[in-house]
Amino acid sequence: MAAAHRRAPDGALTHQRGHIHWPRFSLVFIPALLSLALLAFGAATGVVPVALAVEGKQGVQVTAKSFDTEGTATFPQFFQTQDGEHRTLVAVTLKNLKVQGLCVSTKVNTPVGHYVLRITSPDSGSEIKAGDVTIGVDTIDSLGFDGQQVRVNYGAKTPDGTPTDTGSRGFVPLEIDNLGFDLDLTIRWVVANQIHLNGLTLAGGLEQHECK
Amino acid sequence: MTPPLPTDPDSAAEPGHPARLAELRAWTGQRPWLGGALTVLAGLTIVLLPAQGFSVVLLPGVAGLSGFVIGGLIAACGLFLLFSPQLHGLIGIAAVLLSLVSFVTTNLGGLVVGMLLGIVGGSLGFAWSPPDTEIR
Repeated sequence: MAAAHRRAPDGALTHQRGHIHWPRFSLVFIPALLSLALLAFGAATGVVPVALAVEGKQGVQVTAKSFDTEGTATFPQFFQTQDGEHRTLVAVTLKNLKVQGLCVSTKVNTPVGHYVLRITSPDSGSEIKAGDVTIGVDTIDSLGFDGQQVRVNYGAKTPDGTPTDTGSRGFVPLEIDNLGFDLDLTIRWVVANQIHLNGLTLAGGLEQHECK
Repeated sequence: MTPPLPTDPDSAAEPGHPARLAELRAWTGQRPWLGGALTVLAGLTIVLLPAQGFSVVLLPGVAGLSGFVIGGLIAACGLFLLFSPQLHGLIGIAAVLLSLVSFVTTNLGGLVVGMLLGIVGGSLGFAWSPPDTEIR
């Protein structure tokens, strides 16, 4: 081995190669870890909003007890798969999304079995909020509705028939009570901004169950 | 500019020591190669994580773009550490700060992995001392 140190003419010990000055390392590393812990705590409690963008082939199961949002769909967008195939999809944007009782799970096949990662939030109390969620919908594979009351263009009116509900031009009032639906979509990508997470529980393992 | 690499007479003189290995050893001795390599890896992790499976280049919104921007900047910091080692202090701090920013803007910093690699790599780059500095 080559000598790591040598004596300078004035007698001082010097390095022949660059080296890590560990006290200086801790000077940056420890504050960075503390900042990270603060950010993680803020994200877990909903104080710090985070942004996520996911695309690919991973199957994800999503269930929610309740959610509140405003949805819009834009013109079809185009993307190209790795094998060169051109496909179209519809970008659906959900604004001011609020979710309670969320369960998200994904299953990965490993040599030792199916590994399931599951994220859940409480059914009541704290809710997850997102300012802007855009979903690239490739296909709608199945859709099942269970609405106890669906009324179209039937907004609240005064006794003389004047509508009291107002909306933007071109929008039709749609009133649905106690809606439950089972939706099976093929989604190519999801982008979510301004996410406020609160009370999330993360669990992973070979014994975990997927969301149902 | 990087100062010319001084030869390491001790390592070159070792019997059976391949010349290329001695060159590599001299090259890595002149720069924070570990910090730079980890930082480049951190940037690639953050860039490639949301892009697996499909060749979608641009996604709408901050999260779609920031993966490429923040990840690219972190990878660039790693390259600066490797090829402009005299800037190691400034670039190391920049890599650490960008890694922390990626937690908020980009898939929790490449699902935490990329961010941690960037913090460790940037800290190693900052803490690196060039050769012939006096030991205290």
